Amino acid sequence: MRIRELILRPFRNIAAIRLSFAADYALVFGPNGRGKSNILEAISYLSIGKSVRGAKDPQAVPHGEEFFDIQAICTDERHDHQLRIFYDKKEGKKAFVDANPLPRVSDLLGVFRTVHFSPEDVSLVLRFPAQRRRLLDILISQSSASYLRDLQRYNRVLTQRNHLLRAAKKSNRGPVERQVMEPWDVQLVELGAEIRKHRLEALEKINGPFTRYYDRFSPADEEVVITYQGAKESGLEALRTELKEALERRRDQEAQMGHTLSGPHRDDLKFTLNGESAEIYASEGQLKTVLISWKLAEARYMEEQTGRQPVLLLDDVFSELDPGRIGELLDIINEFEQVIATTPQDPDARQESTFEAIDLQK
Amino acid sequence: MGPLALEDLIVAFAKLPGIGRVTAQRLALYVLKRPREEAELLAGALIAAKEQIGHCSTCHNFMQKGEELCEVCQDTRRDPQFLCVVAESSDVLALEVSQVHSGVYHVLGGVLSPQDGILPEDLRIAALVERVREREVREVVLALNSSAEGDATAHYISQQLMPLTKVSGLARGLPVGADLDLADRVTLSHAFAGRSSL
Repeated sequence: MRIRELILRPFRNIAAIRLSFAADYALVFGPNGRGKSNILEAISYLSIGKSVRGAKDPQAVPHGEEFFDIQAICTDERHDHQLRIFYDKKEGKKAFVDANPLPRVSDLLGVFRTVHFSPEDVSLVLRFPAQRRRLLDILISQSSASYLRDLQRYNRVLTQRNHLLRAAKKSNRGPVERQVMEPWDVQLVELGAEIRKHRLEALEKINGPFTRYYDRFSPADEEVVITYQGAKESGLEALRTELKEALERRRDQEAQMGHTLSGPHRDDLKFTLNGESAEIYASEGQLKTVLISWKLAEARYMEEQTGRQPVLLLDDVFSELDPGRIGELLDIINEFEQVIATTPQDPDARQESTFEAIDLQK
Repeated sequence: MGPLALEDLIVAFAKLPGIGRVTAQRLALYVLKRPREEAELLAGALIAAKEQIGHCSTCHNFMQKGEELCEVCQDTRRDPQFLCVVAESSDVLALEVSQVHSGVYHVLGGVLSPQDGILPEDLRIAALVERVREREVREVVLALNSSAEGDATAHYISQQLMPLTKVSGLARGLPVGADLDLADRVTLSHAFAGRSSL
């Protein structure tokens, strides 16, 4: 689906706005503080049901207000659809498709797909394991309903299991009795193996396009590799056995630490640049190229999984890129059906030939 | 704010689950409008329920105080060797309305949830195991919610009972009469995985 119109009243620092995206490529520009990033965040709210920046819902409510309201007209090949997320501090969050309320906000996932790039992610995502896991989780959740369900359930089981371990740590009586632990272990192993399998498969599929995009941005002799860390196996049954054995092995240690030490919640993605760890050795520019390539590959992955292209949301993507890379990126953008980008400056001639400019100062 | 007694009544109604301030106010004003006898009936029923309802010594279902057993356990037509395990007494009410179970019940008093401090010893599991052993129960159906906590409880109990008797769980899938195109994807995937030949 493509987005044709966005109505915010209000959302973050935007009291009320109505934007039309008539052309397939739109460039939103205006000085900092006008809410360019917030517009892209709002659009992605409609696809993942929550803040892509990891912010809590109340943070998107303007000061002195009680609610935020995001509405959009989106269109597939045949029909227009109205999507809406309404959040009220007292009543919580509701999602609507064509004015019909959805039973759960998470039912919105997969209706309207987006891929969001933000420069704040460059340092965040590539330097913290939790953010790298989120990168994978957002990618897979949008193309698999069962993945999100497994993930939510896994976190629930993890919370319960950690409570048992914390109590064991406090009482200092060694590991929790096996028969008390087992009901949670069984579920942790089952769900953990499913999650890891999904992640490994997604990573394998995204690796190809990722390398292709990265090569277009970088010198020929630069090689970047992404590896999943935490699971050595790949088949479902082997993954179950692996996680089960890991829990078994660290039973004493878990009782001392008071939390779960093995499982997908501890796994990581490793980006290696020319054989060296990217998070330590890569320059800011290289990291930005890594993340842009990942996001473009993410869009390709979703298209392959679902048969539909997501909308690309590129926040402040051109700054700090040299002219050569900007040219390459503009070429790549032409391969996608809809791209909405932002920039703090007036669009230059090359950008103007690709994008329809939307001036936020007006 | 109105007279104190009215405010007290509103506050009392608002403490009930699922009732907000506005509904509480509507209920209180309704009570005021109706004859005194109706109010007495309601007040009497509240107190009587508290005083007269106890729990069955065998299954822990609701029963009339003074009796030894609940209606289900007393009923000689029910199969005492076919046991349905539920989390709360309210689940018994639901199952009894539908008349699907021809055996007897065992109410656990909740589900496992370490987060809320509920461990196996906080539920009536030991009593269940003893009952199954003593009464030579033939089959136990675990009728628990399909939440993480419900599944953990089912797993724990089945480990305890497996050496003693046959243990089964409820099927998961589409509600009868449900529109296929309105079912959520999780339910659909369960229903598909558990498909049966016709």
